[in-house]
Amino acid sequence: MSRPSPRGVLLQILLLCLLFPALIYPLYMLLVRSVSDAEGNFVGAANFLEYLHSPGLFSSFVHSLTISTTVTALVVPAAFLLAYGLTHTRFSGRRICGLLVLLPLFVPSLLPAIGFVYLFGAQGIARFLLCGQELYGPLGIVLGNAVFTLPHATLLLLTSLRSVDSRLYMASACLGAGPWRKFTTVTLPNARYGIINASFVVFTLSITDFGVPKVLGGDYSVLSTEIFSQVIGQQNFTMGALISLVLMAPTVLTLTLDAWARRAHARLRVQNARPVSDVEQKSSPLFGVVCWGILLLPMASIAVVVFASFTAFWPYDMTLVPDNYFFEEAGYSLSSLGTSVAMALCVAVFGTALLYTGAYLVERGQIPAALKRLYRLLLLLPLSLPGLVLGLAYIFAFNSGPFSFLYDSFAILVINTIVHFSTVAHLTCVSALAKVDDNYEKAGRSMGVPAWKTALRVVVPQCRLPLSDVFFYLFINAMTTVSSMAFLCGGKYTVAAISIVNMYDSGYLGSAAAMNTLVLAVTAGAGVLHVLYKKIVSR
Amino acid sequence: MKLRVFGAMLLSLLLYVDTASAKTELLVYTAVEPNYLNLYKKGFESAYPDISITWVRDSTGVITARLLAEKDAPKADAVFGLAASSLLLLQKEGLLLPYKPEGYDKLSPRMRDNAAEPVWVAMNAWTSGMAINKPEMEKLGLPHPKSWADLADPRYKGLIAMPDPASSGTGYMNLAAWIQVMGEEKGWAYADALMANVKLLSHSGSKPGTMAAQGEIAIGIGSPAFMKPLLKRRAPIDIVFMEDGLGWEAEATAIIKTTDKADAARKLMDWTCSEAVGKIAADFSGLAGRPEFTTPESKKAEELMIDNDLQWAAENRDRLLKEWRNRYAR
Amino acid sequence: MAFLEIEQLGMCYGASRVLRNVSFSVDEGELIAILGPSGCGKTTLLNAVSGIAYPSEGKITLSGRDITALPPEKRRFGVVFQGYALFPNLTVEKNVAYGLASWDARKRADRVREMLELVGLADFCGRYPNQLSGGQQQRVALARALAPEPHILLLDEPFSALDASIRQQLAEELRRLQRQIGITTIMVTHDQQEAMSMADRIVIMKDGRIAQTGTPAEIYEAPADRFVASFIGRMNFLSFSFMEGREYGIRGEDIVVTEATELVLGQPHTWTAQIMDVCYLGAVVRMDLLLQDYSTRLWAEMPASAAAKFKKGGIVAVHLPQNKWRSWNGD
Repeated sequence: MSRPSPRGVLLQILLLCLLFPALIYPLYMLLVRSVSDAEGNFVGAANFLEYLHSPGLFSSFVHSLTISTTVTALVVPAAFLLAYGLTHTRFSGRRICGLLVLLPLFVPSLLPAIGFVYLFGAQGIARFLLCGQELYGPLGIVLGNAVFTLPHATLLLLTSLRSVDSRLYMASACLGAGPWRKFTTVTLPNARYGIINASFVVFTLSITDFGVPKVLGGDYSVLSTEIFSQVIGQQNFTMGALISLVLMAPTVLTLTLDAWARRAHARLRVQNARPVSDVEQKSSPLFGVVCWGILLLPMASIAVVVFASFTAFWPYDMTLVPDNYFFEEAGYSLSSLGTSVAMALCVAVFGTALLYTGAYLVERGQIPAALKRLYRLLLLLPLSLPGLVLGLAYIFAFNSGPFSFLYDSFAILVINTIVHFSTVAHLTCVSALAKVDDNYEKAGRSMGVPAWKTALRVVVPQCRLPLSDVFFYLFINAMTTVSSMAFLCGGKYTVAAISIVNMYDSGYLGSAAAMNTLVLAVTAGAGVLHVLYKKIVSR
Repeated sequence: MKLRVFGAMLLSLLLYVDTASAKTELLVYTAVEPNYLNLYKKGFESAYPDISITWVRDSTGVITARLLAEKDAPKADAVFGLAASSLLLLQKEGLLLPYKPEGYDKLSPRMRDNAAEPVWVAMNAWTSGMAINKPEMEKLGLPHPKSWADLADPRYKGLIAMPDPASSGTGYMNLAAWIQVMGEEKGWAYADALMANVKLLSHSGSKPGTMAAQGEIAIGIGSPAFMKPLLKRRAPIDIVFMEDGLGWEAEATAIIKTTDKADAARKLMDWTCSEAVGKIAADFSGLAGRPEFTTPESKKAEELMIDNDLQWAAENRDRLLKEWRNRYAR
Repeated sequence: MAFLEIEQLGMCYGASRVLRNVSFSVDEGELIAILGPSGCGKTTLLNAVSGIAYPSEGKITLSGRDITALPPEKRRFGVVFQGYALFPNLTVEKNVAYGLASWDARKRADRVREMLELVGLADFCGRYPNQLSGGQQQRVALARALAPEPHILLLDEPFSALDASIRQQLAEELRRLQRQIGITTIMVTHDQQEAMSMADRIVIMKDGRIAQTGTPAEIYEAPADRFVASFIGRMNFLSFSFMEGREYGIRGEDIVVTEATELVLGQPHTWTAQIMDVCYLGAVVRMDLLLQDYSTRLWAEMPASAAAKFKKGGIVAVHLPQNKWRSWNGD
C-alpha cells in the first residue's frame, strides 16, 4: 500500500468524527438509560430483571418473535415464487408484474395496513375472506408486515436467481436432467444464500416495524409498540430504553448469522454468469396465475386506500369528494408533506455525498487499514438498529449535553434518517466502486494530476447510475419511514408519515388515506424521474 | 459554480434559523385538539398582538413524555391545554412556576389548583362517555347501554373498545374513577366484569370513538368532547354520558419554571381565564372553566361528574397500573 | 450415409437471421471444427445441434433418425460449454456422475473413476470446481460430458479461457483422447491454428453461412473465396493492371525471393522490390517487400537459412509463380 495521503486521512477522520455524535453517542446514552432508574442512578440489571418478571412486558418479546417468524415463513416462499416466475418463465404482463411488486416500497408501511382496515375490518368490503378471524391483532400484523416486506425479499431473490448461470441449466439438460432435477440441483443450491439473506431481512424488518402494529395490532403488544407505550403512554424512559436493547438482540443475531452465511456461499460465486435470457424462459400461464395472485393482496390494499381517500365517510357515505385532502380539520396541513419532501431531499443529497465519500475512502483511498476497518465496522451497525430505537436514542442524547443545539432541529431529522439507512447505501457505493477500474487514479498521478481530482472527474461520473440508485433509495426511504420519526417528530417539525399516524389515531381515516396517497404520488413521481434519468444516462 | 449555489441553498435549509423579531416569542406545548388549536391561536394573537407563540401540538401522552424527557433542560416556556393530571406529574418534578392569574376567582373550584400558590388553571373539562354505532346495534338487536353498570352486562360481550389505562390518559381517567367511586375491591371487580366484554384496548384515547363511528366496533368508550367532530361528519353514532357517574379530566395551563419570558407566560395564564376561552370551551365540551359558559346540555354531564381527586389519581397511578397489568396483560 | 446430417438449417432471433442454409455432414469418428470470426453464428449452430436452441428451418438427422425437435435431455449428446459450466455446489466426482443418475450405483462409481483416470484427474474426486485451475476444470467438463456414453461430443471454444502454454498441450491431449475413444466430435473455435491441427475436416462460417467445408489441406490450398483465403493462413492480394480487374492471391511461402540479377528479372512475373522489413521468427523469416511500382506491398516467407543473405533496405527480385496464383469466383 502506497503512502497515506494526508488529505484522505483527514477526510476519513472527519467522517469518523461525524459518526460519533450521529451513532455512537446516542447508543451510549441509550445504554446508560437502560441501566439507570428514573432519577439517573445506576441500578445495573434491575430494570432487566423487572422486565423478565412482568408478564405483560415479557410477552411482547414472545409476540414479536412469533409474528416475525410467521411472516418470514409466509413471505420468503411467496417471494421465491414471484422471483422465479419473473426470471425463469414468461407469462402475460410479466414486466408490469415486476414493476408492481415494488409498489409497497413507495409508501409508508402504514398504507397497506390502513388498506386492510378498509378491506377486512368490521366494515371491510372483503371481510368474509377472513372467515370470522379478527383483523386487529396477530393476524393483522402478520398480513401488514407480509405486504411491506414482500418487495424487499423479492428484490433480493431476483438478484440471487438472476445470478444463476444459464449455462448450468443447459449443461444439466444435455446430461438428461428433467425440470425437477434442474430445480433441485441448479436453482436451489445457487439461490441458497439468497433465500437465507431474504429470510433474515424479512425477519428484521418485521420485528422492528412500528407502523403496522400501531394500526392493526389492537392490544396484541409487540416490542415496538411496547417501547412506544412505555415512553409515551407511561413516560417510563428507562423501561423504554431497556426494551429497545431487547429489540436489538434478534437483529444483531440475524446480522451476524447472515455475514457467516455469506462467507460460506462465496465459493459458489461464478464469474461472468449469464442470466437466463428471454428466449430460454418457458412460457407458463400457471406462474402467471401464481404471481399475479400473490400480488393481488398488496395491490388491493393500496388501491383501496387511494379510492377511500376520495370518499366522504367510509363506509356510511361513499360519495366521492376531495374533502379529505384539506387537512386543516384533522390538525395538519400540506406543510407536513413539504417537510417530508425537504427532509428527503436533504437526506438524499447529503447522504449520497457523505456515504459515497466514505465508501471511496475505504475502498480506494490511501489511508491506514485500521481506520478503514473502523469505518466499515461502524457502518454495519445501523442495519441492526431499529428506527424506533435510533429515534429514542437521539432524544436521550440530544436533549441536554454537548450536542443539544441539534435538539428539535430539522438537522436532527436528516442526520437520524441518513444514519438509519446508511448501511445499504454504503454497500451499494462500495460495490459500484469495485466495478471501476482501479488504475484511473494511478494513471492520473503519473500525469501529474492528484488522485482526488481524478476521483472527481473520472471515477464519480463512472458511478453515475449506482449513485442515482443510492440517491433514490435514500429519498424513498426518507419519505416513507415511520419508525425513525416516531420519537423525533412532534416538535417544530412533523413529517407526512407521522401526520398519517396521528390523523389515523384521531379517527380521521379519510385524511390519513389522503396524505398516504399524496406521499405515494411524490414517491411515484420520483420513481419516474429516476427511471428517466437512468435511461438518459445509459444512452 | 452551480454546485456551490445549490449547496448553499441546502445548507440554509438544513440550518433553518429563526429570525429575531420585535415581538416576544413563547414556545408553548399543547395537547388541545388540532381543530380547536386554531381558534385558541387566533384568539390569543388578537388579544395580545405583541406576543407571538410557536405552538408544539401532540397528543397528551406524547407532550407529557416530551416535557419529562426534557426536564433537565426544559425547552418550553408554558404548557397550554394539557391534562391536569399530567401537570401534576410535572409539578412533582418541580417544573412549574406558581402564579395566580387574573380571573382566577371566576373559575369554578374544580377547575383550578386550589393551593395557596396555584400552578395551574383549567379552560375546560371533559368527561367519559361512549359512542354507540346505531346501525351495528340495530343489526345485533340490542338496546343501547346507558351506564357503566350496563356495559358490564354479558350481552355486550366482544362489542366494546376502550382506551388502555396503561398508555392513555383517558383510559387511566376511567380506571381512577371506578376505584375512587366504588372502592378498591368493588372497583377491581367491576373492571374484571367490564374487561370480559372488551374486545380491544387502544393506545389512544380517541380511537375507540372513531372506531365506533366507522363501524369497526359497536361501542366505543372515550370522551364526548372528542366525538363531536365525528357527528359533524355524519357518523351514525349516539353519544351517551354514563348515568352512574363520569370520570373527568381538566384541560389546563401552567408556566414552566425555567422560562425567561415569565411575563408573557403570565399573560397566557390570564387569558386562559378570559371570556374568549370560555366561549371556545363551550363549543368543545360544553364544560367551561368559567361556570357561566357551561352549556345547558352539559349541565347534566356536569352533575354526573364524580368527585375526582386529581392528586390522589396522580399519586396512585403507578400502583394501579401495575395491578392492571398483572390482571389483564394479554 | 453420414452419421450426423445437418440440412438447410436456419435460425432467427427476433428480426435478425443468425443462421442461413447451413448444411454439412459428419461421419462417425470424425472430428469436425466449425471455424469462424465472432458473431458468425457458430455457437448458435452448436446450440441447434445440441438441442438447446430450436432451429427455424432445416433438419438434423442422426443415423437416419430425424432429431430436429428432440429436446437436449433426450439427445444424449455430450456438451462442453464455454466456461465449462461445472456445477459449483457439487464435487468433481458428483459432477462427472451427474448424467449417470439412471445407472446402477456400482456401475456409476466405476464409470466415474474410469473417466477421471482418462483425463488424468483421478485424485481430484472430492474437490470442488472453484478449487481447480482452468485446465483442470476443462478436463472435468470433458469427463462429465463423456461419462454417459454420448453419441456425439460437442465442444464450444474449449480452450479460449486458457493460457497459451496449456492450450497447445490440452489440444493435443484432446485430439489423442478423441482418436482413442473414437467418438464423433464437433468443435467450435475461432482459432484457426487449433482447427487446422486438430480437425479431420473444417467448416468455415461467416455471417451465418457456410463459406467452405473441407480438409485442412483443401481449405488452405484452395480457399473458396477471399474471406476464407484471408482467414486461413495469410494471403497476399494482388491486382495488377494486366489482370483485367480481377484479384488474385498468393501465399507468402510461394513467393520466390532471389538476388536481383538480369537473368532473373528477365523471367515472367518477376519484379524488383525493396526489403522494407525483415522479421526473424525462429524457423522462418518473414520479409516485408515493396514492389517497384511503389504501391504494392507483399510479404514473403522463407526458411531462415535462405534469408540469411538479405538485409533490410536491400533490393531483390521477387518472382510470383503463376501456378501458385489463387483465384475464386465472385467475391
